[in-house]
Amino acid sequence: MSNHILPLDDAYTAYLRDESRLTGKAQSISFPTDEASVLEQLEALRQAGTPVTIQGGQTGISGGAVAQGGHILNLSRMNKVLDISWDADGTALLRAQPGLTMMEMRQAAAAFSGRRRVFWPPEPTSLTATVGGAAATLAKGILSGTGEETYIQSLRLVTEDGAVRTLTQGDGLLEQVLGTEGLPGVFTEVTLRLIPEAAEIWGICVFFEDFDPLCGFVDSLCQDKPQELAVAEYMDASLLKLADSRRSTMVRLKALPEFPATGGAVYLELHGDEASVMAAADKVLELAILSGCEDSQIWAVSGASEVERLRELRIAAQELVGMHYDGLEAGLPRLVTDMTFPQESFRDTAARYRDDPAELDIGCCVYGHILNNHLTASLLPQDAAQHAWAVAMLRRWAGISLSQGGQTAGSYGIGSLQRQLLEGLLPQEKLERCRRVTQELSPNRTFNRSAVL
Amino acid sequence: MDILVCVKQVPSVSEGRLDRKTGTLLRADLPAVLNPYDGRALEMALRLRDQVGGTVRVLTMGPPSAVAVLREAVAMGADSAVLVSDAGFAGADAMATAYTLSQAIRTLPQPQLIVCGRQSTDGDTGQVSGALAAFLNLPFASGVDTVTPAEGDELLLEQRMGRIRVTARYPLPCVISAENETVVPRIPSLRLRLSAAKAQVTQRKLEDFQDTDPSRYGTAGSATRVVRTYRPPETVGKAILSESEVTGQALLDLILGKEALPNV
Amino acid sequence: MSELHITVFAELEGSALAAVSCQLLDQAFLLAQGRQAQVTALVLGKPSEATRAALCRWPLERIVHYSVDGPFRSDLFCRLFLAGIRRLSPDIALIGSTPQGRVLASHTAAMLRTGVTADCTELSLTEEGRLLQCRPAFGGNLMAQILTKTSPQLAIVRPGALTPPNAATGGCPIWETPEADLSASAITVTQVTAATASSALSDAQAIIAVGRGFRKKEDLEQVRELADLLGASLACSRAVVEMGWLSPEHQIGLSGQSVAPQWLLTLGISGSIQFRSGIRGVKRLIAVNQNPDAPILQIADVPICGDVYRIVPALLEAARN
Repeated sequence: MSNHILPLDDAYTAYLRDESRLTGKAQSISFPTDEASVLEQLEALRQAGTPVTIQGGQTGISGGAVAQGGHILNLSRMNKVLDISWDADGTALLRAQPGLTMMEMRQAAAAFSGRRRVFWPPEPTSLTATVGGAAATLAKGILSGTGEETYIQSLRLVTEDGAVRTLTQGDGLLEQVLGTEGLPGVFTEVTLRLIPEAAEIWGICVFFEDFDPLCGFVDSLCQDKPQELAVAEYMDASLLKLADSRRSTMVRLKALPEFPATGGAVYLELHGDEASVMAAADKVLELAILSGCEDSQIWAVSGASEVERLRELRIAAQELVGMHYDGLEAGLPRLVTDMTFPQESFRDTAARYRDDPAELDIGCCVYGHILNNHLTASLLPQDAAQHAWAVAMLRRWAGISLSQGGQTAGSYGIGSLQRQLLEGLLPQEKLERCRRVTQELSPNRTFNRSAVL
Repeated sequence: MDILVCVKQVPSVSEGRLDRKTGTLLRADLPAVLNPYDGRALEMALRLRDQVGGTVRVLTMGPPSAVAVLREAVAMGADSAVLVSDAGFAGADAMATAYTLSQAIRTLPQPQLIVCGRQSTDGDTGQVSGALAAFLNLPFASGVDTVTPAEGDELLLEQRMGRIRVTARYPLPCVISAENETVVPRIPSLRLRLSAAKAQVTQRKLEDFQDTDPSRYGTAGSATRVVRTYRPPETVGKAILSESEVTGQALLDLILGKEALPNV
Repeated sequence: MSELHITVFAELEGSALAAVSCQLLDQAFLLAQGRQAQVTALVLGKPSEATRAALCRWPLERIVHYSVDGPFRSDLFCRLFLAGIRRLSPDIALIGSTPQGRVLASHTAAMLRTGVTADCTELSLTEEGRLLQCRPAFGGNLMAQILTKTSPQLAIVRPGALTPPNAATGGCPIWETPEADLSASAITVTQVTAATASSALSDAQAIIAVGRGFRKKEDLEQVRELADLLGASLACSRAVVEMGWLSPEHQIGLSGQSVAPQWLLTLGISGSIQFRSGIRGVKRLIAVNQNPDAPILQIADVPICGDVYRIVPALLEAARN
């Protein structure tokens, strides 16, 4: 049953959308369980000339998994771990089918590594995101820091002609294919490099009454950044307010006490050995107190499970914002920025994201990476009219980003949503790479036709 | 009020992952945490102390590494900590554990109130607190979700006892088992967490006790013994019924449990 | 081999016999079957005439009764319970897993320096007549068989976990009412009220959850009626919240609530990981879905492949009757 091409009837409408809140259409769907069935199904589709949209966990917010006609190849049942083994330097290699979710990957890694805990640094925040989707978009969570390393060792790629290639790190092609959002073909296997967790991990959340002292804290932290600082995430006042209002109905927020202040917060993680983490924590405490915080405004947890409890607050952002769109008229896609402003400080960017929407009375939650100043503004329009204003604002911001030589999209994927919203303002280099690699590997553009290009 | 809270270090995953082949628990791999029920019991004690003054002392029985949960408790605001640890205590069942705790508590200044969590997520018996009260010859209140200081040496307790709620005055000292599932334990402040790392922890061993008979403790002192563990009958992969196979009434009986589950 | 003696704590709810006590009496006689054994009971409180008569259903040898008045006070009741167990001096005592039973068992085990096994779901006897106690361990992933080396062997038994009553007939036993102080207690109960049932989904004992299998909001009305009839709470998957049909408080799953009801009926829910992570504590999962490949049908205790638009009306009709 699973390995057949099924007509897309009422039972499968759930597969017509993703977290972008766009809804598409399709004529058929299949749920292959292995590479052989992928090949078999693609062969049948090729004869009919049917375009194919590749789907993983449907957690993307750029509409990359939303089909506009044709067939949906849903990889969620290709979720087996094929192999996991130790490699050099205490790292491990995990070879899996592409539909393995982050949650399943974590479980497999934990079961395998025992006390020598390992993790995959790019792990996207959504636990139901898949490894294939993460490789296709190069999406990153909060742990990956600012480096360029993808932690993807190799993958198997099926192109539109039915050829199967193994791409390995260093062969040039792997680097070209990663992050091209499924255009060149279907990943049927992904090998991830898992690295050892630090011996000691602390999570610290500093709550502020106001924006200015928060910026002061961020400035001083960036000037004197402890080496152990592995995560530094911003959460603005409206995100904290939204979290507060959903506290009673969201399991992941229930485990958190009342916030000591709601003018914004900075979430930090310190990774290292016990002594160095404590020294860094001392430093953080000093900076926070100098920025006007009371002791009670600085929460601190240690150990993996407690850190995860605190991390939930930042991770919940995406879902909290998504819930806002539940209340809106259908068809209004999610508006989220994915831009960088290389010539600005944290304060400049955070202030723009706070002030511009406020001027138009449009709700907006701001959160994201502090260290590379990659903040995310999630706009919360109340109706179609505000939505249109918000789109215009998004485009204006993209113009500013471009003028500073920044990236206007890409780290969450371009998909079909950013392609539409930011037409003419998209990062040319990435588009060019997608075009080139697609031309080379699947020139008929069978896959993900509505996305990116 | 001087309050003592008994806490336990448990594996962080309550389900416990099993070795698929052998059916044994991979407990050693799991990071150890403060038993969540004890976290809420501690929160209850801390709030009571913050309200009426006094001290909160935490006590745990476990291997030397259990000092981590004591530090966690001190970071949350406990004033002092006691580690009850001895190779001879290992393998204790609920009764032997309660007896060990009672002996350890007798070596300390007598607390006015002893607070325990409802149960641990790993042992799951919920029997230690009641037995502890019996060994200490103190009144015992289970299912406590609200504690209010009352006049004299008394406490006003609200208890959930199944389908009823009881409000009762208990004399001090007494032992209570907290059942305050909706309370969210506080997250430590960074300053307290940093100082907790250096906090002094009082140690208690068998030789410190009044009763130093080793046959009363650990495996030797445990009357119950697990003779076998096995996996429960597999619950997944039941044959799928089609809607034509079940009538509304039959389905209703299945839902309400009036009919046994189909055996496949 | 000497005669085996099993005592059952015949717990009262008010003046009536608690349901769990009936099950324990049945269980005791099942254990005694085919052996040289006697079964006795211990009663604390004021049983009604009907309760006394009801206890004649079992061929009990003796009943030890302390006619204590008033609400449960742990010190008083524990003292009397201990006295009763000492008087009867059984090999085995079966106690229901109730708030009272758990308190009495732990106190008695400590005072008699014996063992107690909590939450037993299965009991049997070894050839030597020792009680083999089975209980779930590690969150139900494992079952543990436990033996107690001292006497009495105290077992706290989970209500509802045993086989239903089989017909047993008995003569009316002798009621012994030993001398005891039936009032001394340091505890003063000032108020007893019915526990208010929490309206929160996370505390619900029965839940019907709806998903994308429904085509429009109005169609949920039938489900609402069914839930009312069965005393169940209405819940949903994330999709239904996204459509704006139910508010977020109804949502089960990662971004909603975790639930642990006695039973959960899912209608038109496929069982995404997001949803499944919220239903780990469900005791009995009945799932209806049109798609035979839906993950929920793989994990359900009662998986049904079918159309909610036919099944809901059939259920509703049965429930109305």
